[in-house]
Amino acid sequence: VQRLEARADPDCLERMHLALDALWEEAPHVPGGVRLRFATALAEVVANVVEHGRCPEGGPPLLRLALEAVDGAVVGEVTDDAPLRAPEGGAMPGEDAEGGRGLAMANALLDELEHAHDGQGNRWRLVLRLGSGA
Amino acid sequence: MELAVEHRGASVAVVRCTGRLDLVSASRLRSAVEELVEEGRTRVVVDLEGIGFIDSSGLGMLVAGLKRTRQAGGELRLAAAGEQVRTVLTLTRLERVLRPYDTLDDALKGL
Repeated sequence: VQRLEARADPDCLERMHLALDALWEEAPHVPGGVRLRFATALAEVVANVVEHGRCPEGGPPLLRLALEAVDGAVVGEVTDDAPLRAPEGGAMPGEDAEGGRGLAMANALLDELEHAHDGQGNRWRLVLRLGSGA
Repeated sequence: MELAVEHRGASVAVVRCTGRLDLVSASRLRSAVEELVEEGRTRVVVDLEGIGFIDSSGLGMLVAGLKRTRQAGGELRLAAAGEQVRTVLTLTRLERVLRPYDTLDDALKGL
């Protein structure tokens, strides 16, 4: 399991990629196509927190990641301490749109993407099965 | 992300990117394209050979760059995109407007 706790500022994306590299090192059986899809989806969920999340004091929220290669799947959990519910992705925007693709991409790439907000923060759960994205 | 601009005559330029084209770096590519269009270099190839990872912010910037060059009567093309970039172009159905050319030479041909 790889864990990361960081302020959700743009620099945390670099640390997210390093945590993923460490995860792939401890799970060499995860195919390249699955790594690529999971990394792309996770980056969108984390970027969503960086762009939209605010902690109660107004700065970037605290971001926590837990990444794990379990039997047959890669599972990620992303949480923040933002008091407001994060926006969720809709349909894939048209080709002229300059934004709004992030969570639509994550949804399309993963087998499961769950989002919940309990008043204390947001919690995202990402699941990609190893048979996906071959 | 590292970014290098190479002029090819009065109206064509190549922007070479290396690293990750994401939330952190996308605005730099936007500024580079804007600067080129203002100089009259409205036909731009973005060479993605060195880009291992792109996110939705990077894609949005490429769409913005395409619109900006076309408004000025030009064009923006992508060259040498790797597997991850091609995957997201397909997923977002952007490959129709941002067709990835296999090589820089292919992208420059007829531009």
